[in-house]
Amino acid sequence: MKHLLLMALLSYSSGWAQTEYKADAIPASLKENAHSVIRQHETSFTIKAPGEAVRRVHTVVTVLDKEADDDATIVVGYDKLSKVTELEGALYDENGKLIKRLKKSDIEDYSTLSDYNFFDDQRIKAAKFPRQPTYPYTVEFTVETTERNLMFYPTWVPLKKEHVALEQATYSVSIPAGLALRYKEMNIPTAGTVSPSADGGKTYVWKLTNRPALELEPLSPPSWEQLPIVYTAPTDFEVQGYKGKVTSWSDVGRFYYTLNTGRDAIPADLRQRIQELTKNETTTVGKVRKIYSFLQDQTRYVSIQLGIGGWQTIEADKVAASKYGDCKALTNFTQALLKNVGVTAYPALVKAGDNEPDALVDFPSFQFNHIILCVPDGRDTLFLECTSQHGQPGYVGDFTGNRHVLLITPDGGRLVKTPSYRSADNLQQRRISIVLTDQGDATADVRTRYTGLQQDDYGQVIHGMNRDEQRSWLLKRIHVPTFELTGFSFLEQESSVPAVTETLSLAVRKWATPSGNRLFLPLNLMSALSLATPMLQPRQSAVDLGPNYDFEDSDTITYQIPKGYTPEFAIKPVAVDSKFGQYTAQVDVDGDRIKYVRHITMHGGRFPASTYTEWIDFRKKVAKADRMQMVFVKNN
Amino acid sequence: MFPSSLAHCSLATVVLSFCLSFSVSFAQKSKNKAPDPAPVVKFGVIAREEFAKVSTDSTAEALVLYDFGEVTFEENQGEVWLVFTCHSRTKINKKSAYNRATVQISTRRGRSGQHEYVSEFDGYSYNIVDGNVMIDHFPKTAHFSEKVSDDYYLEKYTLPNVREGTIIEYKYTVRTPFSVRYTPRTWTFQQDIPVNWSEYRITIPDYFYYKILQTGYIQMVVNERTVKSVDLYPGQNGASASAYRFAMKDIPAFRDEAYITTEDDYMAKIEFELASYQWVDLRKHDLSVSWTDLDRTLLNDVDFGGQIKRAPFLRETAKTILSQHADTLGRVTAAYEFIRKAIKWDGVGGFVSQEDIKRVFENKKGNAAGINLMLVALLREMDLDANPVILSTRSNGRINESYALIRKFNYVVAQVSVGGKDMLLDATDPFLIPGMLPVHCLNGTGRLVNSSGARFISLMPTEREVDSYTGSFTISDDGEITGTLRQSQVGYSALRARKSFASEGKTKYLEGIRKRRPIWQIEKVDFSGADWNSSAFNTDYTFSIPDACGRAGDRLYLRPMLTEGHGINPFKEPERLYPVDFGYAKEETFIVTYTLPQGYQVEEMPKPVSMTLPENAGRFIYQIGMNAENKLQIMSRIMLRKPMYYAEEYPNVRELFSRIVAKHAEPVILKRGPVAEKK
Repeated sequence: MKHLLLMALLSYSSGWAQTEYKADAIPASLKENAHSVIRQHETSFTIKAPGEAVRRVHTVVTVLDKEADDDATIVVGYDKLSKVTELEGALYDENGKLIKRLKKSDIEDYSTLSDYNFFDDQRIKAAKFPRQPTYPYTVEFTVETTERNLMFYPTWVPLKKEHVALEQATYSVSIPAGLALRYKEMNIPTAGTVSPSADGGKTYVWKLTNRPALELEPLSPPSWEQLPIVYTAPTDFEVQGYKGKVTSWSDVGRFYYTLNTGRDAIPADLRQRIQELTKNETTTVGKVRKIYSFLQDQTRYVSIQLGIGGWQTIEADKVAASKYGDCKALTNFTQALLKNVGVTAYPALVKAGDNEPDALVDFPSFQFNHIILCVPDGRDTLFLECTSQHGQPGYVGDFTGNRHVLLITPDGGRLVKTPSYRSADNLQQRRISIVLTDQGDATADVRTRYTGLQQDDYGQVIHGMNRDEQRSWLLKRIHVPTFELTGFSFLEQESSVPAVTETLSLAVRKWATPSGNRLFLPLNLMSALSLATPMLQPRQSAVDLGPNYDFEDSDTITYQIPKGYTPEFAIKPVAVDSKFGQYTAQVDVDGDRIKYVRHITMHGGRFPASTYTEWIDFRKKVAKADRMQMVFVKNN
Repeated sequence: MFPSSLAHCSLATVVLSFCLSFSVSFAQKSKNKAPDPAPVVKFGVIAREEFAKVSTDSTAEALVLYDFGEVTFEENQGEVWLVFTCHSRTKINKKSAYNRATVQISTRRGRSGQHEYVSEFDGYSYNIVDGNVMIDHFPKTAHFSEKVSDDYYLEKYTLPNVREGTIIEYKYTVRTPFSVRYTPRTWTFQQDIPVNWSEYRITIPDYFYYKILQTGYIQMVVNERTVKSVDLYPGQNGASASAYRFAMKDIPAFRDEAYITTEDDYMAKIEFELASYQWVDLRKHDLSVSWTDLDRTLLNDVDFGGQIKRAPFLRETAKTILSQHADTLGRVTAAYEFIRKAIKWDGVGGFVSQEDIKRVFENKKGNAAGINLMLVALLREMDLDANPVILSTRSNGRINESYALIRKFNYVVAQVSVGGKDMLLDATDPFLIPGMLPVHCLNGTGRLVNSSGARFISLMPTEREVDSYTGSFTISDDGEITGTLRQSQVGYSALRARKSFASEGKTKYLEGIRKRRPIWQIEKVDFSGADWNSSAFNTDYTFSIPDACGRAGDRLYLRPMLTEGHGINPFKEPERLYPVDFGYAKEETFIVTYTLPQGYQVEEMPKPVSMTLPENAGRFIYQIGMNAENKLQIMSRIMLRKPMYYAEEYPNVRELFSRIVAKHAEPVILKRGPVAEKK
């Protein structure tokens, strides 16, 4: 290890051209589809003690075009428990000749300033080289940090995104005698090796060479499923005087429990108030609803990411006084309120985000970024998002739904799954009645009921926007050629799968097109689907239809057509059936009343790469059917 | 160090921005005036009625009931300080406004010595509980101080017990030493939520001469200046001062709209600039007063004026160009091309060069100033009348011709006179036609800087955005169309296409087209004119569209605009507050000839139209007809002749587009066999 460091330093201080950094040494196969190529990526993580480690990362990246200019930037996060002990950088031209070294004054230091982190101690050191007028060029960075929060060991992800290729990368972890490393490899072609080190400990090494750039196809599985990753985690660790041992999910839960236990006292007057509030409720669900609504009414979310590595909550009585808290504090506060009325609830650690992968269930470790509250009640188990100002109790949406969470019980942690929402939960049921003039102008009354994931956007629209903003939002959302929005309203319905009913009044100019003695009427006013993105090369990856593809839409449109027109021809019903979903559309004529009924049910999931042509074909047929148009002729 | 007696200085002047109809006069206070329109608001005291107050927009997430700011000048420890006091009261209507109960104040750190700091923050939350007003006082523990960077800190204060219906109130004072900043903070009357009353007062001792700038589309209800006496330096006699008072009432929330330059150009606000001050020596210290002063400052600056004097390292180049080209235009073009080929732009704007242009020349790269000042120097070496023109880019906001403010500028281009006409050149972009400015420069006027003939110069574009399609297709009797289409792009359209064609490469560029036009089955594509000196960037397609026509019995229904019709009116909002600023004029033409299938004739086709906006500001022409036995020709042309349309013209532009959308949707009906004669 020492030897390696010395080498790195030596090559670093030399002022000669780094011939190995020459851009033309990159194999052609790695330049394909790449905006940049990682020439070297070496991470070493040296654990000195259960509560202390040194991380050193050395990277050399050749930027091939302007899309990768951001790779000439280095950003290092740190906080009270970690310290940046070294940050160096150098810039080379395409021949590997040194242009510039990073100076101290080039390095900026600022706080993260994220909106929702009202107060935390996260800080950033960042530096970047000036934009280069010619490509390629090469940047080199060396960063060393000392870590004193060893709840986490690094997750090694040398390639983070598409359009980056890699020549060589290594990850080495040195661990002293008496400590044990746990790890998990993903998409790693050659398994890691372990060898004894001189001081009695062990050194683990992973290597990667020559990975061409990944280019994601439309609807492909996310990049983190396709790129190599090594997760590492401690067994025994220390953070700010707290000792922990983790080999199972039970241990992870127990550590969180120990850190946060005994912080649930609430003042007497509040206890009384809660008793009063729930005295007529006989069921658990009834009590939870009352208390959850009290919470939403009385408190607000303010992030304060302090305390043991950001993992210890503010006491419930403090929240009772200030009426605000972060996710831990509001969850703890709600748990305390429920306890007061005899309802047992457990905090549940979760990896939240609509685009986050599920927790690695076979790798017990601190993988979470958020906490919610679980009220176990058999089949009526409820998950409560305690930071939400307007959510429904029990509805978790795609932010914390459909994934594993870790329940924190006095007996340790236990993995459970949050609810997922299937097609029948995510509805868009639309009824439109349209009166048409012989000029083709239309007035339309539109009533749409959205449920589950399809209503998610509406919470923010109803509670966060003024009427003007709601109007503008609707105007952008409604895809009708030329229209006036003459009225609208929203109505929320409470349910464990929430629903919103939206009512719109539209005046549509020339929805039907008159031409001579004919009138052309497109039938699908608001729900037409577009075509799929065509593939220009053979499909490589699986077709991944995420949870947003679990939905059911129905449209029933009644047209009152002007007097004296007859359909020129009859329209046959359309039915399209595929493994991705089912579609039907049909038209019934009853005098001057035309009824158009369209229904589509989609099923998300993972399909083989070969099915992409079927997908295109399905979308093509649906898009064609959605453009269905009736032609009327004026009676003479 | 401080004056014992002071001469009276001239008073501050108020400069109005480019607002549409603004008439402001300084009202003199008189005794028989109407009662003061300002609400009486006492800190810490609230009446029940306050909770019932509403604005015109009852759905806003919050409502500012009262917003008051005042600036005074004080002396402390031998330095002048700006003392800004703020008092604000806001009603929280919705949960989404809870973050407004955290007050954030940024303070600047001095490089040495004194810092700007917040003092005396205090606040209350008021709630109605069981019919009574409940008051929570701001606890000192809810104050956090955060170091954002070496240059500034953020002070955060979180008010307690906030829920829907809460009124929050706070006041604070920020003290700013002159050494850190001598410009009072910009006061924004308008916010993203409605404001019932916003008032700003400032008392400026006559030692200081500030320019005051106003922006926005909202009228003041109070606009006064009174003469006062202030004791800036205790122990001295009072000095005279001007006390200004500005207020606005019932201000609607600011609404962002499409096609505007930058929000900042439209928001109702007031800002300051120190122009001069007068000290003990009675000498007046000018910082920047007139445009002539600004010109002189720049010309004397080594990084600006210093760069456009003669440039010996370009002398040989100048000689070569002069010997190779006889006419001025040829010479200018050659010089422009020389600089564009020799120097790459580093992507940074600026109107002063970051290094000597000789270094820029050697390094082969530079910022906008390094490149364009070098172009001026080269043109001057060629004995041409060339000058720098400083300007503000679109995202940086407009400049105000009535007030010389150097910090409002952020870019420079070159001007040269060709045949008695101004030609503006920006050598940062290899795809511009000589005389054409990049889109970010199309922002009103610039300032031509010259020791004798300095002036404002229009940045109106010389080019338009022109797209034309010409094609011919054959319709088969099963409704497929096959044929060729030429897309010809000129001006800003060509600029955009050439840039992406060069950066993406032919394969990716074509891939983009295929993805945007999924129903085209493209057999062949040719690109030509990828350099600026070609008249157009042309794309020639050969493709077919199966099912281009609907079919029923003997009839085919064709949408003759194919995929290129306007399907949706981009102007969805029924009205508009600010001008629609496209930057340049536009023209879009579509001319296609269809060969009908054997045995088919036109049964119906759309009627031709021609419509014009008032003052010929825009036009739409649509013609269709048979021009041979089996050939149908369609022509659609849209012209928007003005780069910018005022809010009053908006309904017309919107109407024009709704008619275009309707016309483009109209079908042609083809019928096999004989067609009944039209009566």
